[in-house]
Amino acid sequence: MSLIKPWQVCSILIFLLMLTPLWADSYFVYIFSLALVISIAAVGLDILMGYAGQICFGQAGFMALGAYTTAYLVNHGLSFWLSLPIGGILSGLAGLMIGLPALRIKGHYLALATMSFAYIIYLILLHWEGVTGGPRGMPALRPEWPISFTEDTRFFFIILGIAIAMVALARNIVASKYGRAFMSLQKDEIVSKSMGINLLKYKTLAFMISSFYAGIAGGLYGPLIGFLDPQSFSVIESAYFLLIVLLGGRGTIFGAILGAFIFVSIPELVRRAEHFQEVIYGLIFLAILIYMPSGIMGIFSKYKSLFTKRLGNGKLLKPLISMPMSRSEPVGLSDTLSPIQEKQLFSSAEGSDRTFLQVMNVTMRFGGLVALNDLSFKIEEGEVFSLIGPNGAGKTTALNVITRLYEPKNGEVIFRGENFIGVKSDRIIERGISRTFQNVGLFEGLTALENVMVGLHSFGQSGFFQTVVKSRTARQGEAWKRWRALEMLRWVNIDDVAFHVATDLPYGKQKLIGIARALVSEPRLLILDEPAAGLSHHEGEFLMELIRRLCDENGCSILLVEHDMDIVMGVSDRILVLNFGKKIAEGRPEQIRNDPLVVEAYLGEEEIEGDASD
Amino acid sequence: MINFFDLITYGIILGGIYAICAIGMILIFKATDIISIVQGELMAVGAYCLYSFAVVLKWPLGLSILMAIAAVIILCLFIERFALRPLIGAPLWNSIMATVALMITIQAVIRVTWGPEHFSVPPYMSRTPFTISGIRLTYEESTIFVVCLIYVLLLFLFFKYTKIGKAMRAVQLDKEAAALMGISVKKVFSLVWIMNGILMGTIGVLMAPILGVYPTMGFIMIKGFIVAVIGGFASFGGAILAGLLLGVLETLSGVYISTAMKDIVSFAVLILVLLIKPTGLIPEIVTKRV
Repeated sequence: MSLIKPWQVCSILIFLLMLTPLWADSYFVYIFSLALVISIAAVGLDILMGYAGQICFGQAGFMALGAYTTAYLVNHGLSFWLSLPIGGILSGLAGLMIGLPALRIKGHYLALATMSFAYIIYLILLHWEGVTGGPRGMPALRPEWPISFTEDTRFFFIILGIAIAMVALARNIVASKYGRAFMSLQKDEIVSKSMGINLLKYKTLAFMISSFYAGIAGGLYGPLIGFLDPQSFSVIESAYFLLIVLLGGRGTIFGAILGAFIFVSIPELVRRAEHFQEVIYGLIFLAILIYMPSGIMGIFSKYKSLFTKRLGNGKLLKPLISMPMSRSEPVGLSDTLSPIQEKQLFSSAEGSDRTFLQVMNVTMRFGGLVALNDLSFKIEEGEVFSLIGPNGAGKTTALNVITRLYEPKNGEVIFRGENFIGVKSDRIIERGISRTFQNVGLFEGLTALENVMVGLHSFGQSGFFQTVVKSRTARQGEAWKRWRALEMLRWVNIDDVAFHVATDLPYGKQKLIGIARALVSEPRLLILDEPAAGLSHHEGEFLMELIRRLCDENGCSILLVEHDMDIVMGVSDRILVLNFGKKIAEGRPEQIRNDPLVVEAYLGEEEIEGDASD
Repeated sequence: MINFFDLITYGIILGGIYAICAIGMILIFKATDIISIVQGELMAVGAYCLYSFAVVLKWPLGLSILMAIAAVIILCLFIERFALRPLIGAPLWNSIMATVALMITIQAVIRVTWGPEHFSVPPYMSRTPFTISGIRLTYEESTIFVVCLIYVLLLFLFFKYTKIGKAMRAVQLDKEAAALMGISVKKVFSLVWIMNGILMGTIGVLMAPILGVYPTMGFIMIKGFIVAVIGGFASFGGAILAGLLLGVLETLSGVYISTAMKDIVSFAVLILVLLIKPTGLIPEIVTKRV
């Protein structure tokens, strides 16, 4: 527990900022206002870059769009208070238009596409003289209602108010399921998909948020300066926004604000030569990249909890919804329906009495390699079904076909009466299938609790706007998720590390977090991909007990891929043996153990290895 | 009325310049996986140095050209040693951002050193056109075109036949594995940047008399980037074709539509390409062999 609480730091800072007009001269107030405006655009960009991990080289372009729209509308008689949000929304829509196609492409192409957008905007501003005034620029008026804001000190309060609101909203986004989804997709896209995160939707959303923030910042920038000209929104300015975010430290809202204030104050420190400041900007930029890649906030990361609000660092909210669940009571059995059950009921209302999971004639090829050859099997409800076979036999491929990460060449996967061909991989979790990954795939930088909460991504009723304003539903939903995730960690016996960064923990605990993350959505079918690999004997035993308990208590079926034969033989109801993508045997453990084909292809080696180690 | 063929040839000069710019980028990308945003400024430094040596200091032309190219090579070595080498192993993203930082710095240094003026450099050779089978050409244009082809040929041979050229491709595929195989990643980085220096220095020197010397001339980098993307970002041949295409398209739209449309057209082409075929319009004919 930290002695200083984040909200205390924030309120002191805000209070000091509010007092600025008292102690500072009007020039200083103007500089502060400018820094606040830049902060808004930088915070938006940080959500896109720091959280969602996408690059945008056109923040100044989006800002220009907001600035010119607002100023144009105001000049044509519309109220500033209406024009500002219109400018912001227009800019957000432009973000959608650029983001939607551009996000299919990655990395440097995205950088180029956004840079081109900013350059086109710049050229349009320069050449569409009838509307933008071209190189001569365009006046931008300050609001006259409810009082006149022509004085800098008065306009400062408008900017401060809007900046505080925008930063507060940004923090709400970041601390919500949206923030978690952004972080997750930045760290691991494949795992994110399996957790039910629609990549395109979330990337586009991050893009829209970022450009909306830029638009609002632009709308304030015009009236602050009093005048708009294309030169303020050149491609170089867009590069400066990247600098600001990197300077403060990616992925921290406070860092973006800090970066903006430092950026704005540099020219005040060096007023000597006109372009000298740009040399300094460039060199600082370079130095940060080389010596301080995580920015100023990176240095403070030890004291991060003082500044940034990260989920789980603060006090635990008491559950607002009561849903009985404890170790003695089976997961998910309750009188009231949890959001998970509602969704699952909805998604497969009719299919409950049909075959549970049926894989039929699935063939999967990678180029010339046949990874799965006409594979068929059935899993009954409530059983533990294991897939075994030598390395490269196609076990993980089979799992990836079931969870829709791979598109099989032919064949069908039917789960509870629904044909899965045509279901997207990010909708699998809603149908009641969740999985763990061979390489664990925990999201770097998130706490154990947050990782597990990502597993609940698809569940909960609150929409984006409710989340942003932290409505009652959103807060309840979030509290429910947090509580449920904690229960899950308790269930796998690692709730003591709930608030630790998951990827810093020992491997065994990471594996359990991965299992908790898959379990938290109360799957009907849990897919475990080599859960015991890399675990100690003791941890392996705990895992076995866990798997048994799961089946007994919840009636959850398990599809297990594992090399540890003790575990496989100990927990499985039935086993399927794969070799070179073909099924060579299927049956109860004792049948498999004595099958000559299996012994030859797979178990034989194991036994020799086993003898050697004995 | 401007002659249509003159326009085409002007477009070809422009295209050649874009193509060399793109080739430098592709070269760096192929060997180091970095997208170099600083290209345009390197070219600008070459042009400014040429102006200072040839016009201000009145050195002989040949010496000025060599010294200008040498200056760009030295700058490239500095960039590689002090900005990019420390970032080997850091996320790729940081290296790309570092070239952005360099772009800002160098452009600002140019403004501080030479001021905002627009300088002109006298042409190296006569601008009277000559005719080859009905097409009017000038020596300037044909020089750019020939230089462009020579560089591409040299690079092609380099990557195909030299040991270090093969090493470079290995480094791009997997830095760690390459290092384990005894390939010096640092050496490859330096060499790539020297080659890039030669390319960008040459283009700066060639461009100075045609387009003039001014602080924002480096923005041509964006065009080089566009050309590289349209060309598929892997093949030198693709870059030349895409460069010529864009150069001609720009010149024509600049005259027949409006000067403002000139730049917008190239960006529109880029966005179209990114939407329809993000891997580039020109198929990877050369890549497969290079």
